Amino acid sequence: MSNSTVPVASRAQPRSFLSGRSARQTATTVAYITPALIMVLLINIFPIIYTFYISLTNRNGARRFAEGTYQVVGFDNYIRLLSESDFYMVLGKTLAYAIICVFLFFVVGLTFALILNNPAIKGRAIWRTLLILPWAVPYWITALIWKFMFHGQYGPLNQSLRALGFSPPDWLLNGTTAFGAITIVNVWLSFPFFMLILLGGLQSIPADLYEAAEMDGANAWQRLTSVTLPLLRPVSIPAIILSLMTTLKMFETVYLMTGGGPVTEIGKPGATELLLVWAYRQGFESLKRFALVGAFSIVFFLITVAVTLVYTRMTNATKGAYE
Amino acid sequence: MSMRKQSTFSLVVQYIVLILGTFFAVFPIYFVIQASLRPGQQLYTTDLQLFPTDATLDNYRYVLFQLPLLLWLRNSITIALSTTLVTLLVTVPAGYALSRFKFRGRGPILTILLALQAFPALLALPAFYLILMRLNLLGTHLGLILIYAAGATAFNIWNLKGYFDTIPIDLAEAAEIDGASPTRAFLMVMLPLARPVLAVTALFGFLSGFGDFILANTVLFNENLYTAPVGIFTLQNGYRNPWGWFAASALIIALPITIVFLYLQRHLVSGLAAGSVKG
Repeated sequence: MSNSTVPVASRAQPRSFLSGRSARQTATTVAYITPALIMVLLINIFPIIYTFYISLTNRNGARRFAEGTYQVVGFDNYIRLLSESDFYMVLGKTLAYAIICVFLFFVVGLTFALILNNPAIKGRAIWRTLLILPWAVPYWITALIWKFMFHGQYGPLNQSLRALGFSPPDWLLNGTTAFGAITIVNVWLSFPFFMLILLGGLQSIPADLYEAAEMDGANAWQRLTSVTLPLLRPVSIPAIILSLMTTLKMFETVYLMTGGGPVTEIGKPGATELLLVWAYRQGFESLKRFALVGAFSIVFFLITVAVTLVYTRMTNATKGAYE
Repeated sequence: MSMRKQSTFSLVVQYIVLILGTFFAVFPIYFVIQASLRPGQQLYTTDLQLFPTDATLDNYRYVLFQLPLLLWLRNSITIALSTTLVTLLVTVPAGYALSRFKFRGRGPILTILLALQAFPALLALPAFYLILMRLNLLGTHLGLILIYAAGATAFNIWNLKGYFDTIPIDLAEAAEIDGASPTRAFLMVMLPLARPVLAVTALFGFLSGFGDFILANTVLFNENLYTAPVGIFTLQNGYRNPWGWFAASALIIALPITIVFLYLQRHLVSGLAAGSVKG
């Protein structure tokens, strides 16, 4: 961080000696960013506009992707979405899931980052490599693996528990345990990212700060809360925001593992039916409510953008980036 | 921290936590390995067996020679490498320009890129379908490559920009004063210094191209064009999954990605951390 202030500051001053080259520099800038802008316009921005358009139509229940006959009906779908009780139920569950998951990512990631940052531990590179392996596993393999791990009869978890004399539940067929299972899977998937980010942060904390804290008589816990955690803030806040966003958008692993089930109440969303699983099922499974899902996407997008922007401004997490 | 003498008790606790964590991280992967070596239906037992009794390579033989797995794998690798290439070509110059040049619209572009990440692109399947149809890319690999590359554009540009911010700009300016063009300064001076972040960007490009299932499953119809996961999921029949074949295929498919990952992992800490540390 301290080494980054030098170039940022020098760049903020007008570089008059280069002013003769400004036309050339403009051409370079345009050439460098145009491919990215075209790509973003076509594949990031157009789908948002098109989704907004669909959300204003009555395209609900048409055959998948068929260009059926439908009309623009205004904001009906938004009203329908916001008066649907299932939506609030799923929203609440997803928020709880995201908060629990990110808290666990942080705690587990920090624990291993602290241990891996301890020079007294032997073979740290090997431990690190083993610990980040889950990150390299593609999500559909993760879903298959864990579906089997939690299998009621044949899964190794229940085989072990039975061998120890317990009579374990069928994890993915019971609402509460299925929710616990998708939480564990997400921790498995995501703690390596936090571990690496926090390890990077720990390595940038000067050792003399700890020595000073120790001279002042701080114990290990006090050193953690008054030196380590505050100094990890700049790295942890972007990581927490990013993970909150990806967890709110959690879809593939859960969908392939549980399909949103088990259904504990007929006609209601299943126990692991998180926001996007619910929306995907509403839109692209039997119901094909394209327009309703369009409205959902836009609402989800606006809320997430608002939260992200307010939060990044409040915490100044991206302040330096604009200088 | 290094100077402090640590108690044996504290070290023992740390090793125990490390071993438990590593077990948690690695056991599922080990389980797939041993499952792939079991003959027939041995996986369907209610007793705990951690080692296959009569290990065999039958599952590997089946998926390699009876199924078009190698073709599907080649498709996946082609798509992943192309995605990596497109990602690097598009995002690296943009990240550099946003870091180096102060032009009008720079702030808004950065904000918009940040905001775009919040859109649940998965739910825009009808829009992607329409774009690919209009571009005549429906059912092709190129269509998928474009969508994969665009998916991570915003994150990659921010990460690259953050990294370029930490490289002293004077180096490029010195080269330009010596008569190098801005592009030459970028390619010859700045890029070699940005190697960690290039590795991370390449890795993410590869992962987004290699790891996807849902989108590929939606837009690919021709069995010869299937990516590995799409092909493997077609093996699923009824309620009983062919776990042995899944396990063997999963390991064969995970091999290239693990190699790439382990090769690039030493860059992960510096390439990611520098990009995300701001302010």
